[in-house]
Amino acid sequence: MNAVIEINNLSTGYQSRQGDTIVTSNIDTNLNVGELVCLIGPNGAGKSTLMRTVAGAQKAITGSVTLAGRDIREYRPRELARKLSLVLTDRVFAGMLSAYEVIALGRFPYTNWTGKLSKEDHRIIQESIHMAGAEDLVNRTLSELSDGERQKIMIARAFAQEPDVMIMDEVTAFLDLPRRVEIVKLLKRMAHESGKSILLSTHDMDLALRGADRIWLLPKGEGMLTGSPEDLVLNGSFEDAFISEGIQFDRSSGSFEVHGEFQSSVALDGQGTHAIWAQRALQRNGIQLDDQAPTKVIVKSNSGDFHCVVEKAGNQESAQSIQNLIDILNAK
Amino acid sequence: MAETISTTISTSKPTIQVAKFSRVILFPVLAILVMVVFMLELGIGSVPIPVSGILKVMIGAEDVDATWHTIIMELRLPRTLASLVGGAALGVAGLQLQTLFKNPLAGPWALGLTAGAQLGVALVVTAGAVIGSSFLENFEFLSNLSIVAGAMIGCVLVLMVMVAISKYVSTITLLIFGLMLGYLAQGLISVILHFTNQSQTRIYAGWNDGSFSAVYWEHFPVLIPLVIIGFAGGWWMRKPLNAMLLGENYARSLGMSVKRTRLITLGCAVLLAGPVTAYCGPILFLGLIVPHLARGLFGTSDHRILMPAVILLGALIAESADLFVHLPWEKHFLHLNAVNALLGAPVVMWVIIKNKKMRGFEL
Repeated sequence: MNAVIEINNLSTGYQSRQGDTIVTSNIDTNLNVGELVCLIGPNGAGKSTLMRTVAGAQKAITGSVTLAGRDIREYRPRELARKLSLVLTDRVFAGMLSAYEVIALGRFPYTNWTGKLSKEDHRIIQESIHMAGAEDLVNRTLSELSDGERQKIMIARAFAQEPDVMIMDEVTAFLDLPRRVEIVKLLKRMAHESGKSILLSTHDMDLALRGADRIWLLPKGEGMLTGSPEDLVLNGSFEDAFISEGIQFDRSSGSFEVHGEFQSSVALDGQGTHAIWAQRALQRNGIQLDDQAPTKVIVKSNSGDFHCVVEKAGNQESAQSIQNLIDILNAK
Repeated sequence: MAETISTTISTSKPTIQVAKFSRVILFPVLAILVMVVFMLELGIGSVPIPVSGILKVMIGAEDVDATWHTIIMELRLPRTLASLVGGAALGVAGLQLQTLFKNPLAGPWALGLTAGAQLGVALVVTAGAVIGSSFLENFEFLSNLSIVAGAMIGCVLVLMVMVAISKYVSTITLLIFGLMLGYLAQGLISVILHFTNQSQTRIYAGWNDGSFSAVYWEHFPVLIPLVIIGFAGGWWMRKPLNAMLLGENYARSLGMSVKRTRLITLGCAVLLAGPVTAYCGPILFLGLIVPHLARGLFGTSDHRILMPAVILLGALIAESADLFVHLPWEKHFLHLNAVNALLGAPVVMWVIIKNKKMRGFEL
């Protein structure tokens, strides 16, 4: 793997007259050509500081960030803009600029002072539009677009900068699930087909686990862990990084479970989707699953209307919905 | 979802083509309108002068009525030119301020620049009066550089305050702040003038009304070069100003120097708004509304189109407002700012309502 960004013994933080405040230290890793890396970690672990330092917008306390063999702080702004582009959480109100014009601003570091676009510039803009799948959006003004569409345009704009590295901060934050999946698919395509290296900070664990080629996991107060998503799950790094009360990382589902103390327990029997959602409903209501429990819930249905039977001390009661089931169990 | 998206787009697809086509038409149409109103300005008034008469005076023909010559050369032509230059200058200053402050309600008057310029002029004139004789004499004597300098220093001071507080307050709050600065300046000016004599106060009151007819030929050698520098700076900065539409963070990530762009652009806004205010007095609303009308008409926020559009539209609107003021009204004299308010206030209301609906600000 070719590294485009090399991070050596990096400490990030803030410098002031009173002294340095170190947020994260001892980071040693690379961002390789054509990989999508997700940076995740609990709030306050220093994700933003690290992103800014890697993007060259903030000075490293110690160590270095090297972009294409040269310290990132040595680049002139225009040079850097040709190597590295950003997509931010900032909401953009570019008013009556069309989406095409916004993407065309990605050519800013290449055009002369008049901002006139050459044929080549237009070709690259078209390519970016195609890459982002934004053909249908380009003639509309930015203010007409939804959050997801707008984010797509900002990503296409970053792509039109023809960078080696694209750094994205929480680009999926305002989006619903289908839109988030779409954006991550798009980023994977950009990384794998065009050889861009993408560093994406996100709070979306599920997306990071499913979408990233590699994960940079930044726990609070320690160095950074890197690896493939699955390795970090299996070796317990995830659990350690996000450990806190009332929340548990479930290795088998790869997601966090929220629960308090278990109030009671039941044995659940059944197969398929209906049984899985019954299980979630029970956990959500603080009911533990235990095969030896005296109360039994038998899910009869697997499609169509939900139907299950609750057995306790020889009595049988039938529930026609999950809410019904919860009410029956809570009544006992 | 995908279907709904593609259907909505297919209907809106031709809009850009239409917009581009109309832009090609709009520039010459606006230019012709500017010329037409220009001729009307010269011809209409208490003494009507036919087009043939205007042309004769302009080419310096011999066989022309001497009164007509005086009316056009001494009164109407300088006034019309002042409205042309003033409207264009205030429009461009408004556009620059709106983009830099990311505030659709910004403008030389709304941000208090006009008030700062007024105060600066009042101070210069009063200082001159204390040293010399009357306001009138000093106004004439100092009319050129010192008054303009006073206006520009006033602008710069206000602008520094506004830039500092714009980081902490919302769009509307900033506008209210600017308007309050205006009242504050008015109050200060009144107090300053209280210590001078009555005739000065009257002359100041006349200037304070805002009018293009106060501009004389001897002012143009100062006014025109400064405004041209302001336009040139605006035209030079059109590319970075477009990037600024994405916000400062994105602009910086595109390799642009935000600091340099801010400095040059704000400097240009002062070069445009300061001298115009010094000579014409406070002209309300124009700088704020012209950029909005240009965006609406040309359907874009691209400064490469907006700069020339705002120059033409600003000239046209200022000329027309001035023409309206100078129509041969029978009974009374209309104030330029009254006309500006009739035109401007509804536009401002429209901008506010439109933006609220869009949950943010739109440039």
